[in-house]
Amino acid sequence: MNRESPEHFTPQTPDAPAALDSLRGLETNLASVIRGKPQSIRLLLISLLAGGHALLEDVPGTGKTTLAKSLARSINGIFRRVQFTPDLLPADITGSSFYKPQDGSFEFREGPVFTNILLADEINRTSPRTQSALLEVMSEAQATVDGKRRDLPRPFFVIATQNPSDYHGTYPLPEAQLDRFALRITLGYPDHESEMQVLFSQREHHPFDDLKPVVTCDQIIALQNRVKLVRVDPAVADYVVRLTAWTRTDTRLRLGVSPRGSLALYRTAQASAMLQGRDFVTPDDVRSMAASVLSHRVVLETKAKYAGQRTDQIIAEALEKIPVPR
Amino acid sequence: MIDGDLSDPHLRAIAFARYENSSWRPVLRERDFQSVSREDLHPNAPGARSAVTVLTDTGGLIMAPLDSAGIDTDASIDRDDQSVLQAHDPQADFAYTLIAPPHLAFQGPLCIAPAEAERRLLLAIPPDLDPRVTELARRVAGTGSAIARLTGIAGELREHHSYSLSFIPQGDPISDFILNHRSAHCEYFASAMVLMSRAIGIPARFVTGYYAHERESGEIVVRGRDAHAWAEAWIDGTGWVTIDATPSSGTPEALCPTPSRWTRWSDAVSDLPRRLRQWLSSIRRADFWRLALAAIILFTLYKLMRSLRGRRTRPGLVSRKYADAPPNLAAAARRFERAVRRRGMALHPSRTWRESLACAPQPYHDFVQFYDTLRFGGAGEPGRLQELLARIEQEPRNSPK
Repeated sequence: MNRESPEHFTPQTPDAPAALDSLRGLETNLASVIRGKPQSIRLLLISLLAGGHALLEDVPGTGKTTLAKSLARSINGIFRRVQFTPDLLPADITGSSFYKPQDGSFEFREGPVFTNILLADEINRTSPRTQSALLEVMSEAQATVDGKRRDLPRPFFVIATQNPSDYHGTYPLPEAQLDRFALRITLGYPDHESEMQVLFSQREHHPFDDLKPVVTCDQIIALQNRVKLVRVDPAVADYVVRLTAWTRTDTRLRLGVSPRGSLALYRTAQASAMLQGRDFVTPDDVRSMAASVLSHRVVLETKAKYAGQRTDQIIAEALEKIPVPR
Repeated sequence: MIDGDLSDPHLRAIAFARYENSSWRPVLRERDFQSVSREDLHPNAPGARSAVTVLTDTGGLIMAPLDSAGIDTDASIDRDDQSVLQAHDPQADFAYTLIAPPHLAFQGPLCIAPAEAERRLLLAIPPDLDPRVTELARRVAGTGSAIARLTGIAGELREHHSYSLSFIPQGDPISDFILNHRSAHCEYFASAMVLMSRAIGIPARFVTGYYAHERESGEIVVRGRDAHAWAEAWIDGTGWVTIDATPSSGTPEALCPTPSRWTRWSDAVSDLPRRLRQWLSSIRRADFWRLALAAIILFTLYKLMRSLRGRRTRPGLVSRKYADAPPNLAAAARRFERAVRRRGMALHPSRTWRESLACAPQPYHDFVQFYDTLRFGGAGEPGRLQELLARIEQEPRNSPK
């Protein structure tokens, strides 16, 4: 896939090559902190470019929070972090109005969601009520507090991290919440070499402290707008819909992929194509995104679950069964 | 499997005349078989007929009671000097009919009077046989008719010897069995009977075969566990007679009485393939076509139902075609796929070319990349496609790098 060269790309806006270059700088930045995980870094950038949100899921200590913080630091925007705990309330993240005795009015104090990048750390440690407060924020990029709608700054990108839900002390995210994440990214353990590099690179100080912002918010917005212009052939769109339709008819699944999921697959495939310097989507882009986009949106039937089926296997099966457009 | 009744449950298979080095000879493959005409086996003799179906490999041996009035078969049969019958072509499937004798000890086609040389062979006593055996035989036989003397010996063996499957002989096994150990299985009783008959001057031979006694739904079924051995003696004036000296506790009838439910069940399972084969060979041609037609109809119905079900759950996700590419691109794609297949590389319909050709040489990647630009990017000069295609077609066939 890396055989594609940027010269095939026909720029739509004058500053596009510069923005793309800064995006590559962003990728390098992240790679210097998170060793040996170029695929996960790319997926995170894709979800940012596709205008979606990312869910980082893995066991503790694999670098989820570090990756999110590095991304935030590499973008010249506002970054806020919420550590989710069981006693966190919705108002703690959206903000609330305070009474001002001086003039007898109410003043709204913005919660941490009023930011460009929100790191929702350990999102499955908080109650479903607080998790739901994020629903509107994530899908509409707006927060309604005290009956008043307030727009969030652009770009707005949520990076949530969670431990796999079968660990103790967690509230598994409801399906509706999961559906709002464009991608679920797992980091996994680094390989032997990379782990040794991690040890040496942190000998004196964390490489994270050396990170400098390389992209501005405006550039990100421009790139997000350009992703929408990446060409998708009707045959490729047909392929996207077939993949999601497959999950709705599979008897092992209680819940298939929603149309929002189809849209996420469509957008992330566009972003993936753009990151590779193409202005059109190929079926390869769709296939490379399918597992990360679809597998967290489906719910297994109890029987299939106890038979040892996994959602990513079912998605892989769909990829193996459905013919690709030529 | 025998459909009918038998005059005598002793179905003889092989008869032996020579006793050498503690074993009976000659073995089957050393025998001198001569072809025998169909008429020699009296196929048209009067009497009740029982059809025998051979379901297992018997080496072509024909099992029959000694006193059978006749044997009717279409197969060509060989016979040796001990009246052992074998199909000429042991591999071929064959069936035969046994004809029951009109009375006991009937001398049918299997009872051939021994010639003089033969008679000497049937009276031979092995040199290592203990002389006390001869003495014992003379003493218990007494002085009566030949039948009475043989009965005396058989009676002695039955009364003073017992049946056992564990016997480790010392010295000459028959002498040890008769004189000392007095407990062994049917082959010892039969051998002892033969040698003691010879000791009193009556020609005799050793016979192995099956003791047919298991009845299953009107048929007699003979199995490997019914194997048995006995003696045949020649009495001047009477002919060949069967003498079974094994005590009643040792006959297969006693050893395997009415089979238990478990045995019957396991028999039925192990018989299944043979019975199926027999059933298949018994189907007439017309029935066969009728069955085949029914099978085809059932198969078609099954396929139809499956495809209907598949359509319900997978509405065209797999089978429906994608929107067609422009004709020139579609033609180039077909040409490319043909060229790839001819060079020994596989293309899977649900994988992209890029995935299928990950290890292919550069020209393939160039083509795929350019094709994608035209097909999905909707831009580019189609002329170059032909040029890239031509480069692939120049590659040697069947030698992917």
